[in-house]
This record gives sequence, C-alpha cells and structure tokens, in this order.
Amino acid sequence: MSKTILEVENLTTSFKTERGLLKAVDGVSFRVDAGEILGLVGESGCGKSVTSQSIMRLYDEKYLAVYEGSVRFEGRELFSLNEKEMQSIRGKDIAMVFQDALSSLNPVFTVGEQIMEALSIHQGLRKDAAREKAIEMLRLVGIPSPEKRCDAYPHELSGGMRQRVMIAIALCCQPKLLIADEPTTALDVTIQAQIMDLIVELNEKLHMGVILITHDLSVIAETCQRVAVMYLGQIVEEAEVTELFDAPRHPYTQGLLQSIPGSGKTKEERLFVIEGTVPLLSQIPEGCRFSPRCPHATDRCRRIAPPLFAGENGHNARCWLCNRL
Amino acid sequence: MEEKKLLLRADNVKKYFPITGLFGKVENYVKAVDGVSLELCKGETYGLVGETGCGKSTLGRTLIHLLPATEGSVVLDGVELTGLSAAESRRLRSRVQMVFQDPYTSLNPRKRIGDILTEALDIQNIGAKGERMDMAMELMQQVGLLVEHYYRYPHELSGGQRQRVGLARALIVNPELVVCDEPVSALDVSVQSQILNLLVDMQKKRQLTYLFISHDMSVIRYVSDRIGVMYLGHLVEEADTAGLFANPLHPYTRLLLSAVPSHDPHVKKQRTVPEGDLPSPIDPPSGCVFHTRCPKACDRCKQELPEMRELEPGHKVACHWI
Amino acid sequence: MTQEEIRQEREAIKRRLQKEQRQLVVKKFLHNKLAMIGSVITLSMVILALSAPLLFPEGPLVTSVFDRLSRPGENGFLLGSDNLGRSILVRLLYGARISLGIGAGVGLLSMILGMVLGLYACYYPRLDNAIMRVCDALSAIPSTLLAIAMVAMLGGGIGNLILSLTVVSVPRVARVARSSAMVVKEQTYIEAMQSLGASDMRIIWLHIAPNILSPVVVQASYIFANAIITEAALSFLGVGVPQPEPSWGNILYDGKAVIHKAWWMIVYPGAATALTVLGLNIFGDGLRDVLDPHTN
Repeated sequence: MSKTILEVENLTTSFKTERGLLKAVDGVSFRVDAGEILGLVGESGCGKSVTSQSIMRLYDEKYLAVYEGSVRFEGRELFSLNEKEMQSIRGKDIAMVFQDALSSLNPVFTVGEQIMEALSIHQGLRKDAAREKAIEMLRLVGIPSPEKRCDAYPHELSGGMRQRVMIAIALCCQPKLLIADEPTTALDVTIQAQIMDLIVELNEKLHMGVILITHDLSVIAETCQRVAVMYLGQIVEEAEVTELFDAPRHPYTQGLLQSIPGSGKTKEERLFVIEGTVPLLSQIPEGCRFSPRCPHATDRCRRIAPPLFAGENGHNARCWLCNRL
Repeated sequence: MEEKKLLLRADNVKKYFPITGLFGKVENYVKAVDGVSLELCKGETYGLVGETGCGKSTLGRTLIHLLPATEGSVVLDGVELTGLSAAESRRLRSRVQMVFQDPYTSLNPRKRIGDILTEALDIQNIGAKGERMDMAMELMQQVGLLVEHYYRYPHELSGGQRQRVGLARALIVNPELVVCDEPVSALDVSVQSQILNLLVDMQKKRQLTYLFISHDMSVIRYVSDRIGVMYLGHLVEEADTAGLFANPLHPYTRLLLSAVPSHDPHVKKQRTVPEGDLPSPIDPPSGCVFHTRCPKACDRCKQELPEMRELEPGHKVACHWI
Repeated sequence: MTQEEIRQEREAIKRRLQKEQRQLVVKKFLHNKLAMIGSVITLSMVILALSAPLLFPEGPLVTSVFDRLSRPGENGFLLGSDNLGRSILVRLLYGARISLGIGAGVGLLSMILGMVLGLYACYYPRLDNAIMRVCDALSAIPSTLLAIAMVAMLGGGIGNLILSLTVVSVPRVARVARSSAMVVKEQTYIEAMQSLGASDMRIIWLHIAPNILSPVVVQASYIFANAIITEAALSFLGVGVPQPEPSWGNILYDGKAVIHKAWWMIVYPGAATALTVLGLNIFGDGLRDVLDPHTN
C-alpha cells in the first residue's frame, strides 16, 4: 500500500460575512496517497475550490475565514503551523494549478523568469542553474523548443501552452501533492486531452499525489482512481471511479450521471433532470441537504441529516436510503 | 425520408476583420470565416462544432446578418440578406434570433425581466401595448418561469433561470431560425439538462430551426440532426449526426472525437491527440488549413485547398486523401 | 380565474417585489457608513442653505457700521461680523445657497454634457477621436486659468460662472462616461439588443446610459465639490460671484484684508467649504458601492 501524504479530517471552512459565519465547507474528510489521483467533483458553489484553498490556508484567517478540523500533510498538522512555515510548504511541497492560466501568470515577466523565481525562493538556485532547470521543466511539460519559449511573455503563448507553463511552475520544486483546480475548463477538448494526459503521465513519473477538482465527470472518469462528490459543502459520496460510475449510491450522483447527454442519446429521448437549483449557502435546507431536490426524499430525509454511511471498498454515501437505491 | 424545405442557404461566405495599425491603416485581416457554404432546412438542428477561434460563432452571426459578410451570399427563404438596408435588416430580426452563451452578461442588469421581454415586442412592433404583458407572461410560463420573475432583476435569478429568460427573449418575436451560441456551456451539469430539454421542447412546439454552436461533442450529438465541423474558418466535414459519429472521415474530425473524454471509466481510449496548437487565423497555412497538424499531410495538402465533396448522400468532406 | 383576478394577483406580486427591492437598496444604503455620513453632511448643508430666508428674513446685506468686526458671540453675532458689520452666520447661510447652487448646477450640467459626449464618442468611432481630442485640449489648460479666461470673456455673473466651470469639468465626465460605456458596449446584452433590431438611439440611451450612470454620478459628485472650491477661488480672486452677493469665496476675499484681526472671517467660510467638499466626496465614494446592482 502506498504512503498517505494528505489526510483531511472534518475540515470546516466558514466565511465571516455581515450576517455571521457562512459555512462553505462543512465536515469534509478524505485522504490522498502518493501516486494517486483523487477527483473532487461538484457543481459551482459546492465548496470544492474552497476545500482546496483551505488545505493551502489561502484565505485570510483574521478577516475572512475560520478553519476547523485538521489537515495533516505527511503527518504534520498544517493548521498549527505559523505563516512562515506555511509559506515554505506552499509551492514547494504542495503546489496548485488554477483554471485561468492567463491571470495566474504575471504579464510583465517572461515565462522563464517566473519559473526561475519559484526555484530561487524554494531551492535557492543561482541564476544560470535556475535557468537550466526552468528549460528542463518546460521540456518536461511538453513545450516545443523550450530554450526559445523560456524568454517568451505569457501573452505570446496560446492557452494550452500557458497552462503547461503553470504546471511547470507548480512542478519545478517537485511537490509531493499537486492540487489542480479546474485545470482544463477554459481549454478546448484537444488541448484538454493534452493537459490531462500530461497530468496523468507526470503523476506516474513523479509519484506525487494529485487532487483534481472539476465539474466535468468525463474528465474524472478518464483520469482518477478515486472520486469524492461534493454538494453544498459536504462530501455526499466517495468511491473508486469504476464503482461510482457503475453503481452510484447517492441520488445526487445518480442524477448527475443520468443528466449527461450520453453516447447515442438523441433528442427524441428527454434528458434526466435534477429538479430545482443549488440553494444558497445562507439557505441550507434542514435535514439532508439534497432532500428538496431529491426524487426519493422521505420525511426522515427532510428532518434529520444523514451521516456518511460507510460501504464496501470505501464506497461511502451520505444518504438514508443508499442501501435501497 | 420526407423532403425537407430549405430555409437558409449560404454560399461561399467569408468574414474578415480588419486589423488597423497606428494611423487607422488596414494592415491585415483576421480571416474568421473563409468561404463556408451550407444549407439549413426548416425544423432541423444544425450543429456547428470546432475549437475556440475556429470561427463558428462568427459564422453564426454572419448567417443571420448580425455581422455583414465580407463576401458571399446568404439567402433566407428567397431573400438575399447581404446588402439589406438598415430598415430591412431590422425587420429581419423577427425571423432570425439568437441565444447567447453567458446568461450573466446577456441580460441588462438594470432592467426587470418583464421589461426585457416586452421591449423586444416593442422594438419589433408586435402586439398592442396592452397585450404585450400577457404575451410575455404566457411565454415565460412556457419556458418554466414564474409570474413573479416578471418583476425580478436578472441578478435575482439563477444561471439556469437567466438562460430561460435569454431563450424567451429570442422566442418572443416568433423567429423561424434561432442561432444558439453555446447556450449551455456556462451552466452547471444538472442545469444543462434542464435547458437542453427546454430547447428541444420549444423546437417541437414551434417548428424552430436551430443553428446550434458548441464545442461540447456530447451536447452537439444529443441535439443535432446534422453536424458541421469547422476548423480555422473552413467547414471541413458535414454529415448527419449518426453518420458523423459512426464514420468520421476528415482527419480533424477523427482527432476531435478521439480527444473527447468518455463518461465510462472502463473505456481507456487510445487517443491520437493532435500536435501543437491552432494556427493563427491572421496568417492561416496555405493549401489545406489543417496540414500543419494533420498526421497524413503531404505536399499536395500544403499547396492546394481541398474542395468540399459529397462522398455519401449528405456526407461531405474536404480532404485530398478521401 | 377572471381577467380581473389575474390582473390583481399580478399587481400584488409586483407591489410585494418592488417593496422588497426598495427595502434592499435602503438597507444597503443604511449599512454603508460612507454613504450615510456623506449624505448627512451634504443634506444638512442643503437644508441650512434652503432655510436661510426663513431664519434670517432680513437677508445677508444688512450692515451695522458700529458693530464692525465683532468677535463671535459679541453684539449678538453668533459667528461674528465682517468689516461692514454684516453677520458672518447669515452671510454663510446665504452664501451656501450660491455656492451649493453653483456646485449643483456645474455638477448636473457637466454630467449631462459629459454623458452625451462620452456615449457618442464610444458608440460612433468616427466621433471618438474628434470629441476626445477636444477634451484632451481642454484638460491640458489649468482649469482655474481657463475658468478665469472664460469669465473675463463672457463677463461676471452666476450664470457665466456656472457655464465656464462646466466647460472646465466636462472633459472629466466625458472621459469617465466613455470608458465605462466602452465596457458596457462589449457586454452581450448590447449585442442581444442589436440582434433584436433595436435602433442606435435606443441602445445608447436605454441600455448603455443607465449602466454607466453610477460611475458618472460619482464623478459628478466630485465635480460638485470641486466647483465649490473653484468658485471660492475665483471669488477670492475677485472674478467670481459679484459683490455684495455673498458666496463662501467672497467672504474669504473680504476677510483677506483683515486677516490679522478677524480670524473668524477666514475660518468659518473655510471650514464650511472644506466640510461640504469632504461630505460630497465621501458621499460619492459610498454611492459607488450602493449603486452597483450586483452586490447584495
């Protein structure tokens, strides 16, 4: 069995607002092993990005957010570290790739300079050594003629190339954990395929853990080993990828999978619809959070919130009816 | 199969955007659409796929004369659209409409939903003043909105509801042809299926013709009767939906289909991912525009632009190899 | 259900929602400390100015030669008197009418003109260069100098003062209006209006204009404040509001001669000007947040 590098237990992130604390993530637990790709899926507002940012402690703790629970990275509790120690972990041991590569890159520095900066902060490399390493990283992420591209500015590169550069920056210090937050959402399918292949390939080659956050179930199906489905700040189901797609146990997951216009379906057949919309965080329903939209909801669902029921092979679901559906 | 009635015919449509230099001098052109011919039949959904920057949105807008074509002709029901006067093109708007991608920016934030809908009637001079509210209310009900939404502002609605408003705004003037420009790509998965169902329902109810633009293969496959694949301003392949997915002929279509991730985790696809990126439409490659990324490219491809040829009934492709 | 019942039900929903929406804006306004403080200061100035004829029906021109330069509190002058024995308090209040009136007039006029110029410059690229280069030229000349030159050309008087201050301020509004309009013009809802066949006039005035109103109003509130200062400066230099009509600048001008014996002639009008300008600027900042339809 592989070594566990990240253990998140009962993570709760609340935002301070004028109307009091707003729980964006509520009691999320999962772990990531080395060499594993964990998928985190959910619709907008489900808290998947907040979860990843909380792991990095990116929200200001004085004015913005309150963290509870525990995040252990290689056995070290991240929530008890001070800001300086945290900074040495960010970007070095845990790295992130964001959706919008254009705004994540600084337009006034060349691509090479931005990789070299990361290297000099965390590894203290000298300039020529850093440049060599930067070129090597660009080659690793599949950028053609890296010696030339190293001196290019972000706007001179295409969207796919910029995302590759982001990945190069994230990987240059050999992180043990990569958090990819919707890395391909802004890209075309052909480029998406290139980037996802790259992430899978690097995951195998460098044996790091990856958390892949996306709303696209097909991306999850192609790349991940395990998946956690989030809804309104909670994990509602987690399982091995094949299990989740073959036999989903939570009605929300079932609904999501059925509502995709799958292969061969024509417009003569209606698509499955999850009624209603995701409620606001300030109006979280009583009982099971999914109950107002759930076709199977009973009285009990509407009154009492279900716990996460453990199943075989770590296939857990947060539903009172999960054994009957 | 019954004979379909032709609604719109585009012939060799080109749309170039000038790039002006320092003193307003035209230095070059972005060749967004470079010679596309296609036909739309009444009541069908024509899907247009391609990557960002391939010109599919521009083509959609040019076909309904929202952007004037640089060259070529577009005939809607016997009426030539290129060169219409301003007044005539204004009247045309009640026959061709558009649904936009982003439900957040496509509604004026300072107008109530009711005003957005009745204004469309006002512009096209449809119905008496007193009737317009009832007309709007009725359509709102059809697209799944409530009476109270009539008095709401866009920011008080969810993304899915806004997209319903966007559809209602297009349909309220009773168009025959609706260009749907990525109508579901900004929406969440569970909302996406709601809107797709609605689009299909409205089409059946009103015998609408859709030009459906999307980069999402599974969405296009679900809604379309026929599909056109665009690459760098050119239509490279056109076929009915089943034919295209069963037997993609153009190398680009094949690459595109193989890049689409599957929803089945058991299927690990053998992918042939195209090398490199889309070339710039300012200075497109000579000959076949796809030759820079095509695995089969030869000398002829680099020099000669392939013609669109019909290989099977309804299945056209532009490639020297086939 | 009959037609009448349907109509009534709709009316009821409409009233309920409009009330909700109004309450939300009011709540947002009350929660916004900046907007509240700013509007309290500005409003109290306006109320004081408006109530001047009621409080002091005798007017600001009554002189009392024997009580010249009374200290504040002396001889019944709450804020003292000036070198002709006129009450500073009364002159301040009446002066507020003129100063605020000029400010409001300049703010409003330059807002309207600036919006017209900005909108047309944005929507018609052909006009863009012409309009904006004239604006550049105007703003290249120091504004006080330009105003003096214009007053000298047109002659004194409040009307001409407003006109020349407007000419000075219009480029600022026009530039803000144009750049905001440029952003709005690219929004999809404008394209949607074009695809519905809306006329240019409709798009410009019913769709772009309401959406650039908030930055323009904010800018206008700064110009309001600025006009009060410039008016004071011009009156101080003797080319503003003609004597013996009081304006805050005029009172300062009169105080200049006796500054070493009568500090109150300088301090009170100066403070009134500063406070009003501060209030207006704060108000403008707060207004920007409140007017944004997206934040709740």
